[in-house]
Amino acid sequence: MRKGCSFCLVLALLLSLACGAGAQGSAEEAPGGRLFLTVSRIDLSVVGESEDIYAGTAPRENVQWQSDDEKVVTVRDGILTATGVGTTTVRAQLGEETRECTVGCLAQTQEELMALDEEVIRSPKRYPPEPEGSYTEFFRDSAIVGDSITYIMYQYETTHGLLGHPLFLARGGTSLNGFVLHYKNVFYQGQEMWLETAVGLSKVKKVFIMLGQNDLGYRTIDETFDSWDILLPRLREQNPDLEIYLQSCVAEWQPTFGDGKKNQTIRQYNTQLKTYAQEHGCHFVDIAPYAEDHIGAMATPYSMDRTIHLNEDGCVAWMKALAAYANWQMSNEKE
Amino acid sequence: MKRGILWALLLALLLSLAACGAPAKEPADLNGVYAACQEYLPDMMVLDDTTMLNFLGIHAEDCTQVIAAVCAAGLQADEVWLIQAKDQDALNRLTALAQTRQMAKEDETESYLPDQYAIVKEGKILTQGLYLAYLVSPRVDDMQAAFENAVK
Repeated sequence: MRKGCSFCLVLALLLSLACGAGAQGSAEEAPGGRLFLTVSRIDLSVVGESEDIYAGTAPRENVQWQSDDEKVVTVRDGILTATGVGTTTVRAQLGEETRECTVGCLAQTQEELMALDEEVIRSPKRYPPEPEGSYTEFFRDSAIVGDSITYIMYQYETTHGLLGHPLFLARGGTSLNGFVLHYKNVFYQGQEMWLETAVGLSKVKKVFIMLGQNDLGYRTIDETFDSWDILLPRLREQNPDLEIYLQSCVAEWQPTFGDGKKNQTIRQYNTQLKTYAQEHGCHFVDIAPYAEDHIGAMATPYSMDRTIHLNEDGCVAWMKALAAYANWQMSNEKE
Repeated sequence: MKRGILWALLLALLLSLAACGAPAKEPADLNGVYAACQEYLPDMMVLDDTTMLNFLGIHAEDCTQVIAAVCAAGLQADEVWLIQAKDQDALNRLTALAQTRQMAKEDETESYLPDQYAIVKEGKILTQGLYLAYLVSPRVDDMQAAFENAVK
C-alpha cells in the first residue's frame, strides 16, 4: 500500500514537472513566423518620410523594434519615420531572432535635398538584404523572362551565380507586344520560338517576368495591360501549372529631376501591375524600389548606359532582391 | 622473276612502314585559337554545356572540341564559337545554328544598337574540314586569321 502511494506521488510529481516544463517552454518559445526586413540599408530622403521595412511572416506586433537614435528615425511596428538628418541603426527582435539595418535621412526638406551633391541624390535609396540559406532552390525549374534589361542580368547571373543558374528567356528589343504579336520572340536551344512554346518545352514551373519598359515608350498603360490579358492565358494554356511572377519595372536613368515623365508612367504602371497580379493569380515581386535613387530615377551607380539598362552592380542588387523575395516566400511555404 | 617479286615485297614493306610511321595529324588547338582571340575581345563568358544548349542550341555531343563565348557585360555583340564537329552531319547542324544566330543578332541590334549592328553584319561563319568558327568582333579579320592558321 505504502509502495503504491509512493509510486503515485512520484508519478504526480513527474506529471506536474512535465506540465510546468511545458508552460515554461511556451512562455519562452519564439512567437510563430519568421523575421525579415526588406532592406539592409535605407536612406530616407527627407524628414517626415516613412517606409515600411517589415517583410516577416510573424505578426508585426510580436516583433520588438528599436532605433538607436530616435533623433534620426523612429520605428513603430516596422514602419520607419525620419525625424532628423543623420544615420543610425534600427533593430528588430522576434524571440531569439534578431535583424538590423542601417537607416539614414539625407535632408530636412526637399529644397535642402536638391541642394546636396548629385552623387548623394543619385545614389541608391535602398539596399536589399543579403541572401540567406538555400534560397536558390526557389529558382530551380524557373525561367527569367524579359528584354535586354533581363539579358544583361543573365550575363551577370552567369558570372555571379546568385540565382543558381535558372533558364533565361530574354530577347533584346522585345516587349509585351512583341511576345503577343509574335514578332520578337525568344530563342530557346538555338531556335526562335514563341515565349509560351519555349516555356512549355523547357518544362519550367515558374517564370519571373519583367516586361513593360519598351511598351510604355510607345503605348499607353491600358494598352500594355491589354497585352498581359493576352499573354497570361497563352502561357497558362500551354503550361497549366505554371507559377507566374510579375516583376515591377525598374525606372529609367534620367539626367535631372523633373525630366522623368516616362518614370512617372512606369511608377503608375507598377502600382497597377501589383493589383493586376493579385487579380490574375500571379505573384508580384517589387524590384523597382531597389534600383531607385532619391529623385525616383535609376540610381546613377547602377546605370550601364544612362538609359534603361542596369550595370553589374545594379543587376547584383536586382538578383539580391529576388533572393530576398525567395527567402520570404520559402519561409511562408514552410508555415 | 624471283628478284622482281622480292623487290615488290620490299617496296610494299617500305610503304607500309612509312604509312605506319607517319604521325597522325594533330587536332587543331582551339583553346589556343581562343586564347589568341581574347586579345581582341572584351570580357567574355564561356558557356557551359547546359547554357550552350539552352541559349545557342549547341549539343555538346555534336562536338569533339567546343568553345562558345559571348560578351560578359552589357550589350556588346562580340561572340565566338570555335568548334570541331564530330562528323559532317554534326557540322551541318552546327553551321545552321550559327546562321540562325547571326540572323538573330542582326535583328536584335538593327533597331536600337546601330554601332553593334555594323559589327554583327561583318560577322563570319567559317568552315574548314570539320572545324567551324562563328566570329563577331570589330577585329573579326584578326580572329579569322588565328582560326585559319590553326586548322589549315
